[in-house]
Amino acid sequence: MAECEEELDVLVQRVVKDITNAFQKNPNIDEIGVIPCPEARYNRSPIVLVGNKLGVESWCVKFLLPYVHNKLLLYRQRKQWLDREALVNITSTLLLLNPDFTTAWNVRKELLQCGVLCPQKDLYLGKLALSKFPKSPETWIHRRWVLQQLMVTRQKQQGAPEADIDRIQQLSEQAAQTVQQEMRVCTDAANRYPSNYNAWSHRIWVLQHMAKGNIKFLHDELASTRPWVSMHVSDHSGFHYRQFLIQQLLAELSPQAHSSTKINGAHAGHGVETEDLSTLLQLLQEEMELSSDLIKTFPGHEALWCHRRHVFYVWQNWWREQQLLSQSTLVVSESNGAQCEEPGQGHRAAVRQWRRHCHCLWHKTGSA
Amino acid sequence: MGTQIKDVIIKPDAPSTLLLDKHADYIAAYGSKKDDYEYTLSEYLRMSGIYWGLTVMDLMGQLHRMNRTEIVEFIKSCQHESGGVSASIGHDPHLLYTLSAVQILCLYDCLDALDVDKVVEYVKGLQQDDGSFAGDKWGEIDTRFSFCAVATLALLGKMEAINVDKAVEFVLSCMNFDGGFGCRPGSESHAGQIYCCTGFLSLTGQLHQVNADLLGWWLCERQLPSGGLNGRPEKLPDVCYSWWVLASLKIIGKIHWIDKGKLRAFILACQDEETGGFADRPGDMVDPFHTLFGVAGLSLLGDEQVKAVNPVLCMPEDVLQRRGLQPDTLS
Repeated sequence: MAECEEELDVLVQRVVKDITNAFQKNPNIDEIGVIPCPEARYNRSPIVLVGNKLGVESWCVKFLLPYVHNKLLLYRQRKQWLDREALVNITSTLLLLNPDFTTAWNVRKELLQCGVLCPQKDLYLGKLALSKFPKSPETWIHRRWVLQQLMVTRQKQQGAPEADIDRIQQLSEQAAQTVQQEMRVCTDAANRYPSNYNAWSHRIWVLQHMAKGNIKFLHDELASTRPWVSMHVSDHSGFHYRQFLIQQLLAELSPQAHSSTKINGAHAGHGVETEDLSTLLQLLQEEMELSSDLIKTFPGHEALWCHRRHVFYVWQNWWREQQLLSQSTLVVSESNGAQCEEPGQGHRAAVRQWRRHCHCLWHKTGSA
Repeated sequence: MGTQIKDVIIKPDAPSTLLLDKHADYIAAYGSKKDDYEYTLSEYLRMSGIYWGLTVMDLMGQLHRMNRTEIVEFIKSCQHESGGVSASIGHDPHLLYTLSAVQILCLYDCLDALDVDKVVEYVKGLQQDDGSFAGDKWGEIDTRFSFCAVATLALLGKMEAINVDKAVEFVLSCMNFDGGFGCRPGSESHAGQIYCCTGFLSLTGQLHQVNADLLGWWLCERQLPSGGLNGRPEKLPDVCYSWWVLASLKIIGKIHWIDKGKLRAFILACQDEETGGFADRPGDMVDPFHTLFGVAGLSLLGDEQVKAVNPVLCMPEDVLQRRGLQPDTLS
């Protein structure tokens, strides 16, 4: 029995080493999978690397997983020491096989905190895990923690007294690249599993935390997801994302947003307001047209009708809010006299224009 | 010609009677082979797995077949210094498994197996400034955790330990225009999250804040021609949604808005006549998770062969009566 255990030990250590070596040999591995292979062939590694694809032969998984799983738990219970390198390799192996093993991700968080791991490594590991397990809740959760850490580090560096213009610029660019990478990871996961709630809610989280108030980015996202939703007309999550983007844009372009600081270099003032208003109206019109086109091309899809309802509601709700606002500024301007007249007038003009556009839009889409 | 709706077709020879004995045998034998690879894979949620198994056994009047002593000892060794409970020995603590542990101990009327004050301290410590709850010390926010927090404290009779008003404020900020709830503000409505949020609002006495007609409509739209329920538009039906959706409808007083007969037929069709247990949909592999929600769903639909289940906490009503807990529901 002891012999068998020793053999198993040797075998598993070899497999873990083979996996580690594969990543060292090819840092561009972008997909993992299990190769159906019921029996071991003599003296051949179960780890197969072809191009950028890493495969594990299925016969070894049932030995490999319980072994590394128990090893990690013994470490966690302080019954067996593991050095940092072993921890990194064991958790990598474990998480590629079972990425919902929360405790393994937590071990990596601790390694990150003491500088043994860098955030990019875990973002890469997570991306790989998602290539096989696109929904994995724990992978997305760990990803958000890593991104938080990255943001805090970058903010500290930007605020540091020795940070010069170039360094600040470099950090900004890195932040933008990180956001773009997240968009790609989310798209890949959305492609791999229909209506992938976790992928799309992560995408929203990234926008809320790493691209706040970035109007250009919101527009870019609307543009880039348009073809995607047109090819995934059952994907309720994809359409919900567009509703979220539109809602964010409406919030950014409402007069309240303008009354505070500048947004993306644009200066506040009702001239800019009116211009952005017509961009918005065009946007809503385009969304309704997209909805009509898809409904006509793909009749009977609940997700498409839900989307239409949502867009209408968002638009109607915003319009109502603007009406209430214009009424209140009217009251204020009347009671305060000349000082407040300009904002009140500008706003009333905007609302009148808005009403005209709405009636026009109503007639255009009424035939859909 | 319209598109075909995504749905399953129930075969004429699908099970149509409730095979309680087979399900009890299935659960009683589950996990007896602890070296099983599948068992290791799911160890990260073991505490919840035990809760699912024990609850369905209790609903079927078969709790005595499970090993009470072993389970209570197991739970004791899963409570950490922080007060939180982990899914299994050596795993890290989390709100999800803290709730499951408390639920199990309520079934066994054995809450003193845990340091209750430490549990309360752990839950309290996870509340954030905006009223939301993190799942553990690493900080992930999700309305599921708001539910776990208040459910745990309600069972322990310690709701006052947290800022309930702030917690309510956060959950309400996750209400969407369709009347549903997502995991965070701005997230898509999802039947699972809706269950957590309506359950939360029930436990905090805030059900009047729900738009019952609007949400009820969204929920009853989950019923498909096969009779099964899905979790969101254009998804396939799944027996677990027969719980998340059905319980939510019960909580907001709209359970009569779905076709009970067709749902019952769907749930029964998800049974496996040979192995016992329920699968997510007819013909698939069974597991304890879907077995609980299949049986609990049938109980909510009024099946008298099964004990009455509480829609908020997914536990037998008699267990909650013992705890003196009667969460609100709308009528």
